[in-house]
Amino acid sequence: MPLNIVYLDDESDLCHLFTQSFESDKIKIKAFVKAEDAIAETLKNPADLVFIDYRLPNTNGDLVAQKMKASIPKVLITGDLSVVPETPFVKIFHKPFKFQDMEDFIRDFLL
Amino acid sequence: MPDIPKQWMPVSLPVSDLRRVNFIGAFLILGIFTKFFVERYFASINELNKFFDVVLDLLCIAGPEGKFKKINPAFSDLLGYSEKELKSKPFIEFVHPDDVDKTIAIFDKIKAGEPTLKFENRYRRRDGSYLIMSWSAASDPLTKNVYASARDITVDRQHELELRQVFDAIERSSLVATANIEGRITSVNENFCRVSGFSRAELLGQDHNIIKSGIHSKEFIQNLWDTILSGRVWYGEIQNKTKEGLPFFVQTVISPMTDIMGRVQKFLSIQFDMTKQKESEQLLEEAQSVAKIGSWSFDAKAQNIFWSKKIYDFFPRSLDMGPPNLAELEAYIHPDDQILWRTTVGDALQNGNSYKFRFRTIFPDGKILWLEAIGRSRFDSSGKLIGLTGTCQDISDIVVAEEQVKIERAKAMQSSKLASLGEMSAGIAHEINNPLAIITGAVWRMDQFAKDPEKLKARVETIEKAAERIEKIVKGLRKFSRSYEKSEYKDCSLSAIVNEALILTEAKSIRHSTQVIVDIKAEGAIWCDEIEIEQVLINLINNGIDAAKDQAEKWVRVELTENDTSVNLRVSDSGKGIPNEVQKKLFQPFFTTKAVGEGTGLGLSIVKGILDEHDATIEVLPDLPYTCFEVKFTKKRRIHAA
Repeated sequence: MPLNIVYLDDESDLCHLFTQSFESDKIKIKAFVKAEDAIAETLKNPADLVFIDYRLPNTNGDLVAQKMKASIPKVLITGDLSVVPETPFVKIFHKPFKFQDMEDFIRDFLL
Repeated sequence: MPDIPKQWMPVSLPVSDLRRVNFIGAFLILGIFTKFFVERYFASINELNKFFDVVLDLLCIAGPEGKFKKINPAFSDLLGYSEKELKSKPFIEFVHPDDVDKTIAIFDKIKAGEPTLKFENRYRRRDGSYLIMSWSAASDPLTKNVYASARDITVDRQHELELRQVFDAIERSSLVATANIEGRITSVNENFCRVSGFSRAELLGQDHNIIKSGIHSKEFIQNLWDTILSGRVWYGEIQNKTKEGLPFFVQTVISPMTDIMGRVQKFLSIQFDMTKQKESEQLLEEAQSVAKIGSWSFDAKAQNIFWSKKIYDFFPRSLDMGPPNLAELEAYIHPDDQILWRTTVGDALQNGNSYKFRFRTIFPDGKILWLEAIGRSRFDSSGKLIGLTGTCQDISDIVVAEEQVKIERAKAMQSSKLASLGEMSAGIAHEINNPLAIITGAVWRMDQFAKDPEKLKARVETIEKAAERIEKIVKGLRKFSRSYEKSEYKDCSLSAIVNEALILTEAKSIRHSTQVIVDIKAEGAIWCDEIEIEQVLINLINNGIDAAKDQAEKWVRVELTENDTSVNLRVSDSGKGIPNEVQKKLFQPFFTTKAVGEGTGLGLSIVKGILDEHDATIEVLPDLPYTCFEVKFTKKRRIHAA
C-alpha cells in the first residue's frame, strides 16, 4: 500500500522538486502551494504523512497543522532559524535540508 | 617902518600928510593881515563844519538844560527824526524809559566836570525801535554845554549776545577748559569739574596732565601739541582719568586762541563726554571677541578696507599694520578657496547681492582657520553701489564640531543599519534558505537525469533561478551594510532604489504576512547618495510593516510620483496611525514607540538627517485614515563646478 504524502510549501519549485525526488510506486505525493488546498485534501482523502512549510502567506505551518486531523503525523519544514511550534510535529526539518536526509526519513517512516 | 615902494610914495607931502600916509599904510597892512587870518579862521571853521557834517559818528552839543543845541546830520539820519524835532524836546525824551535815570545821572556828572567814555543807553528811533548807543562826552566849564559823540553799537551788541549764547550752549553741554601756553589750566566749567571729579580749586593753575590717563602714546601727544602750537585746531578722542582713577572718554576739540597779531596766547578745549558710548563700544568689542566675530567694510571707490580689531586675529596680519589692500587680503586666503572668494565678492560688487560663505585663511606656520563671511552691498542715495559691509567669524570650532557630528552620524547610521540588519537577518536567512533548499533539491541525484535532457534542462534552470535569488539578496545586503564616511552623490533613479529596497524588505513583509503594494508612476531621477536613500526606504517600509502587523488588514504601499517641481515618495501603511503627540517627536533621536529590543529609535532621526542633507522634506500627511509618510525631493538645477 503506497504512502500518501501531502506536501505544503508556498515555494512551487520546492513542491516540484520534492515530488520529482521522492515519488515512487511506494510513495504518492500531492504537493500544494496553498494551505486551504492542503487542508482540504487531508480531510477528503487519507493522508499518512504531511509536510508543512512554516512560512506561509497569511498563516503559518503551526496553524495549518492544527486545522488538520490530529492523528495524521506532521513534519514541519522551515527556513527560519528558530521556530517553536505548539502542535506536536514528529520532525522538524530546517531548510535547506539534505534531500538524502529526507529520503532516509521517509524510508524509515515506511517501515 | 617898512620900505614903501617908490611908486606909492606921493611926490611931495607935508609932514601931516606923512602921518596920514603911515596911518593908511598901517590900516592897509592890518587889513591884509586881518583878511589873511579871517580867511584862515573861516576856512578852519568850514573845515570843522565839514567834519561835523560828514562824519558818520553822531556828534552833538547839548545845553545844560538838557536840549540838543547842535546835532550833525548823522544824528537825524540814524534816529530818523528831523533836526528840528530833535532840538525841539529835551533829549531825555528820546531815551528808553529804563535808561532815563542813569542818563540823567551821567549828564549831571558830565556837567560837573567829569567826562565820560563809553556810556551806553538806548535811544528811540522815529519808527519806535531802539538803538543802543555808546557815548563819550565832556562839558565846557564856562558854558556848561556838553559836547558828545556817540556810536550805534546795536549790531555789535547783537553779535556779542549771539556769541554769548553760543558759548553758553557749549558751556552747558560740554566740558570747557582753557589753558595757557605752558599747559596750565586757567579756567574750567561746571561740567569739567563734575566729570573729572576735581573741584575748580583743585584744577586751576595745575598742569593739564592732572587728568592724564597715560594711555596715549608719546607720538599721539606730540602730534597734539605740534598741531595746536602751530595755530591749528586739533580734533580727536582722548581718554582721561578722573580723580578716583576711573577712565573717561571725551571727543575733543582744542583750539589755540591768538591775539590780533596771530600769536598763540592760550588754548580752549571743548570736550564731549562719550564715556557711555565708549563703554558700549568696548562691550561690543568684548562680545565680538567672545563670539570670535569682527566687522569689516569696503569702500569701492577708494578701494579701502576697514577691519575691526577682532578680524586681525583671523588673518596673519598684526593690528598695527592697519587693514590690507585687496591683493594682500587674497594672499591670506587658502589657495583652494581663493576662486570662491573672488567670485563671491566680485558678484556682490557687480550685482549688489549679499552673501554668506566659508573660506579658510592660512598662516605662515601652516595653521588654518575656518571663517564665515557675511557681506551685503551698500548704496548711496542715488542707488549706486559704493561698497560692502559685513562680518567675519571664526567658525573653526563649529567646523570641527560639524565634522564630529558627521562622524557620529555615520557611526549612528552604521549601528542603525546593523540594528535593522539584525532585525532583517532572521527574515533574510529564510529568504536565502528557500533558494538554497531548491538548489540542494535540484542537485540531489541530478545525474539520474543525465539521460533525460528535458528534465535536466528544467533542473538546471531551476538551479539558476534560485542562485540568482540568493545573489540578489546577498548583493543587496552587501551594499546595505557597506561602511562609508563620505556620502557619494550621483544621478540616481528613485524607482530603481525603491525596487532594491523592496528586495531587502521582502523577507520581513512575508514574515509578517504584509502585502507590499508598489505603485511607481515615474522614474524619479534625483541627485543623491544611493545607499543613504535606500536606507531611508528600508526604514520607512519596515516601519510600515511593523505598524501593520497587528492589524486585520496588513499592507504597506509605496507610491512614487513626479511633477514639475519635485519627486514625491509616499509610504503608507494600514497601521493605527500616529497620534499627534507622537508626530511631533517622531524624528527625534532615540524616540521610539516600539518595545525594548524591537527598534533602536534611531531610524527616523537618521532618515531625517539623510533627507536634510539631500535638501528633501519628510512629513506625516494629516487627515488620512491611514498613516502616510511623504518624502519630497525638490528638483533643482545643479550648478556644475567650472
